[in-house]
Amino acid sequence: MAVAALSASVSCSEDELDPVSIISVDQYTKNEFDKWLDAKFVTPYNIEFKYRYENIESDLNYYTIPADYECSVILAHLVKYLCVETYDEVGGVDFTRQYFPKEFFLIGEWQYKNNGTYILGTAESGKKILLAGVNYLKKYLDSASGLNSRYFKTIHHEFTHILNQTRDYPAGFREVTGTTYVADSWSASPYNVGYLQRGYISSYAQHSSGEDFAEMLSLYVVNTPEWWESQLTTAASGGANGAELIKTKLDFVRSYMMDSFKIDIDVLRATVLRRQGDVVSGNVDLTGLDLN
Amino acid sequence: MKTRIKILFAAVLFGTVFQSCLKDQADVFDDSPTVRMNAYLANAKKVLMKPEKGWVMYYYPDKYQSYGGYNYTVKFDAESAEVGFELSEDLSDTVTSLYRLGNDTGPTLSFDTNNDFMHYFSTPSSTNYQAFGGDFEFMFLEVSDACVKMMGRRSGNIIMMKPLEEDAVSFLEKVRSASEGFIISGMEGSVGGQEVKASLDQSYQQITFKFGDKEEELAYMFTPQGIRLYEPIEIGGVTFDELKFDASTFKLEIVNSSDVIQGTVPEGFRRYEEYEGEYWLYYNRENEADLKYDSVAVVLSPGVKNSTYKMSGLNPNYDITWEYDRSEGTLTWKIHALGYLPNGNEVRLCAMDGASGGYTWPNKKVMGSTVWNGDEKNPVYYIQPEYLWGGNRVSNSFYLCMWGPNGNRLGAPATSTGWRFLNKLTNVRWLYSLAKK
Repeated sequence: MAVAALSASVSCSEDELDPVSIISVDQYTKNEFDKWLDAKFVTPYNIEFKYRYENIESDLNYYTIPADYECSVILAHLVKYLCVETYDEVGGVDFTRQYFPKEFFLIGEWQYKNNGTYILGTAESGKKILLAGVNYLKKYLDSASGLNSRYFKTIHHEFTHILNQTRDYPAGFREVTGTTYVADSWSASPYNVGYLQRGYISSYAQHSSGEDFAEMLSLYVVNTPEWWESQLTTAASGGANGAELIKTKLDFVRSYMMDSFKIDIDVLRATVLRRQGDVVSGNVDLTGLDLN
Repeated sequence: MKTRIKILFAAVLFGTVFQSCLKDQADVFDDSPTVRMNAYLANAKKVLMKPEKGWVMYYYPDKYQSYGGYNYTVKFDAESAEVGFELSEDLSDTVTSLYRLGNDTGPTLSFDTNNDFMHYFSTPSSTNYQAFGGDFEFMFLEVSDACVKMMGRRSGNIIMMKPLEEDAVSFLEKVRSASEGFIISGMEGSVGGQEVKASLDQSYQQITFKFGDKEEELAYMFTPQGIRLYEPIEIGGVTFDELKFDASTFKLEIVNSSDVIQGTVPEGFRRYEEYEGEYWLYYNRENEADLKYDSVAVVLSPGVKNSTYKMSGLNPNYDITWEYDRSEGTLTWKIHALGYLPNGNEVRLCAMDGASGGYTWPNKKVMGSTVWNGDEKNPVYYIQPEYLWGGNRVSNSFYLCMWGPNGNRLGAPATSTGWRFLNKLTNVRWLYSLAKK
């Protein structure tokens, strides 16, 4: 007490607060796209969509480059139509506002590793999604599978991590194929083939249970029911029990999404597919920067 | 224990009571760091936008400057930068993108949306994951109307900009014509009375000076009249960083000195233009004694002048790239991407050891280079492989390999893709020679 009193009484500041903030703002003025992003992402959802390169946002372990302006405009429209508004529709605006990542950061190229493989995107601390390879976007615009394999499966995949970081997924999921995860060997022989028969929906799902969960949900919602069934057929081929394992895991995913977030993954899938169809058939304006 | 607590308490008390408070400490600077930084950046922006014809940027990628230096022209307006580039196929092409002045460990200039020219040396790929170690973010070191001196954020290289005195396109054209005419591999003569010899690696734009018992290697770049060194060098008391080249006499004049030295070329040197034409590519011949070999008609056509050749004939879907080594006057090949299949898989030309069937995966090394038989009338270029992995792999064959959308390595493309060599082969073994028809 005495110490506190003494400490408090010896303060000797007569300085007034400096009216100039010590935080300096970079010297650029907002363009049409910046204003559009404010209106469509920041104001309604508090989501920041960073399309201009910032060293501090990038992963310095990789050699990366800035995203293309035009591609960024298109991608922002796609994220809005295929992700943000999909979750608005299925989970309600409050769900999107509460859980959807608060920051997107775009880079132009993939994040290449020294072994020839590369990273399509990452999620960070339940808040941020980094999307790579933005400069290739136009190449994939007329194909849902191209858009999914490069970008949107990635967003759903990373969003699943964010949901998992908010509410952990059931321990039972980890047990289903708990002994056969292979970490970084997923892309190498013999793990790069026959993964379906071993109960994995993708090669990468074999990495770990967290990745498996994200692969299950993201691949389920961006693909057609026919595709899913054909994967199960392959998984059951040659008398393998892969299909059973995948179905068991899907049950965990389904109940997790319903119990934790009141989201029916079949409704989510139908919505995603309908909206993908709209994009691929050219019915969605992907470049307009009208604020209304 | 109690004593200790008392001592501690006393110590804390002492520290608290007798602390000093310098009320009248004078500020070192008139303004706060923020105010000064903002003023610095506002001035930098004004300076950048000032030159009517824009700036020329002396750009060196890689922290060891191991690819040499290149000229960019940059014209700034309030929001964007219009960039021209020495390596652009059409020198009148420019690419415009946004830029930003910011505060990030110091005042910085960042080209922060994609610009194919400005990001050329920083763009990675599956076979070159560190790109060329180039920068697109620069820290200002000095800003004035006559010169902007910056440091590349990743490489730490000094990058200078000077106001252009002529139109950007005509400047770049002069640089190109100087670089195209610069076909020497060394120099010899005397500078300031000191005997000097220099050897050039033109593919990587490096020059090694030998004088007295000294040896110094420096990167260089092309100017409208010759070359400029990355840093000044002192030889025989003369300090210089620019040499003017006379393409008709192969002589080099040291700028700011009266010394002139002579350029030289090596034995077996072939000029870029001499490789153009129709050839037989001989392969399946392991050694000189083996007379059973196959051949296929191929055509070498110019790619980027003085830099690459395209070889057609192995498959209609793609050409194979040979690189021209300007100091040796030879052609070399490296592992490189050939294109994409409709399913998104990338197909690459890889290197294989014909005897063991072992492969060599992504690296930037030369896998094979040509050796001229010395015959002007019937030139034959033997293809020399590299001995890699301590000689365990000999890169004497072409091999096709696919890489999946996630960057996973797959096998060779199926015959049905139409991407195999000569419609059937996944490899062309034991490359032997290119013989002009």
